[in-house]
Amino acid sequence: MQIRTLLAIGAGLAMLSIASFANAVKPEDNQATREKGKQIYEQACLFCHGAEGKGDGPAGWFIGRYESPRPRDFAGGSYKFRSTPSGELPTDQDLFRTVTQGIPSNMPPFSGLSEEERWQVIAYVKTFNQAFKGAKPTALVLPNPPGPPSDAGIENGRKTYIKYGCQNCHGDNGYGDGKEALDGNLKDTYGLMISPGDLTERASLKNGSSAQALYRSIMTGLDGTPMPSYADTIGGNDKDVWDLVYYILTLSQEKP
Amino acid sequence: MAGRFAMSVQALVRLLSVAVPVVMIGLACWSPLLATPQSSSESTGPVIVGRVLYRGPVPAPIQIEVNRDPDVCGRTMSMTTLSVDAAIHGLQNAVVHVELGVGEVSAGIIASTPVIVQNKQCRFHPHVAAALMGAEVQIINDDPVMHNTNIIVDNSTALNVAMVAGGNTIKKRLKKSGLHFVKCNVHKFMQAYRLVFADPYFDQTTETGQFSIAGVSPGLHRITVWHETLGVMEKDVQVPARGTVIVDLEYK
Repeated sequence: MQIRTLLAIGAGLAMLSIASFANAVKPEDNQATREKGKQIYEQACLFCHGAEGKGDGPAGWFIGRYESPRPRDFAGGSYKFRSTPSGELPTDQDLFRTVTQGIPSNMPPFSGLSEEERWQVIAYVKTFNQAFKGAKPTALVLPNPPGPPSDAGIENGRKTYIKYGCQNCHGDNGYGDGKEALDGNLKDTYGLMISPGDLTERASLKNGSSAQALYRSIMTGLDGTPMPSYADTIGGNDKDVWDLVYYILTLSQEKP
Repeated sequence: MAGRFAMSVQALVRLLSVAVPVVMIGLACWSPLLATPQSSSESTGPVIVGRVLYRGPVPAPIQIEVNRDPDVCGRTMSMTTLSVDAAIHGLQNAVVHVELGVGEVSAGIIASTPVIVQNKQCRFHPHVAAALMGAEVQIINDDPVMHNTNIIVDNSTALNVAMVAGGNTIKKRLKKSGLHFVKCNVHKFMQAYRLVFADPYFDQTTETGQFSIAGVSPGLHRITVWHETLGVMEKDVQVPARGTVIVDLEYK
């Protein structure tokens, strides 16, 4: 259990390192950068996200037609994967992370593009939504995880799982089979049916499965979905959240 | 005789000492009613007053079976989406907005009134409210169970926050205008609406369907009415430079 948890922490730290390095090669957001980004977008993104970024590309027409998720509507839709508070735009770093990692079962990782190319396409994607103009999205403070969890901490995490109502959607054992899911009550902001994450399958978690990624998802929520942000209501009770994160990691059946 | 006169004077003084304040208080209380909209509008420009009416059939409240937390929410939930005053057919909880052109909206108006979203007995209170963009929304959970408050504008999340039992009041700014649909994903029957405008020319109808909107500029303006189940209705109104325009808006 502790080895798996340490691996999850290690993966998170590795991603932080990648993100820090990526920031070092980020080109200036100017017309030339956006023009290059447009060329990449038309090759790599348009097929799903559409020429105007509305999530209505040739493939986007049928992807998510009857069940969430649809390809992201860059022009006005919600951004699920952020480090910012609920309802806010993502940071550039958030967009870079999603482009680099992809989204399990939905979007391939574009790590085949150079880092500069990824930044260029991000600069272009932001032109679809006027809200980005002049905006400076600010990430929540997402601390590094504390040391390896204790059994008492895991037990507190289990209680927190119930206190925060996680079982309503994710189920008692994290399989994504909570009552709200089974009753078909969970819908995205377009009214499409949406399934909660299966917490026992780390690889399937769309916003990442490292300890940091889980912490981030709990704090920011996933906009466009029923998953709410807990950042405000828990008011700095970090210990409960980390205990919850470690408890969720114990639900995974994956071997280290 | 002199004594009786003195007693009469004393009685008169006592009578006046009681009667004058009573009359003054009475006048003070009546003054808003006695003042005509014409006089009150002279300093602030024209006023649009009126009623939103509905004479159609009013459905009985819907009884929804509660599938979660019945100890707090009850076994069934009675939902009334159409509240009409039986005597004058006034429609409650409609939101009336006067649309002004570019340059006609007063600048520098600051939203000072907070917008409340109270989770109480598995309902959002109030069910409908109108607000100025930039206002602070305060979300409160008074229930001993968890809710979430998921506010959606134009198919996009404006705010989705977990409301743990006993958790903090959450305070955020309303950054977008438009119809804000408020829902709880834990209790699917919990729904509410906040209508957010970029200008202050709106009002929400009272129990008798009345509204009043002051401060609009003279000219031809379109009035838009929104209601949860009856939808949107529009009417053009000519607003004079001064005085009161009386407008009755009826859902057919």
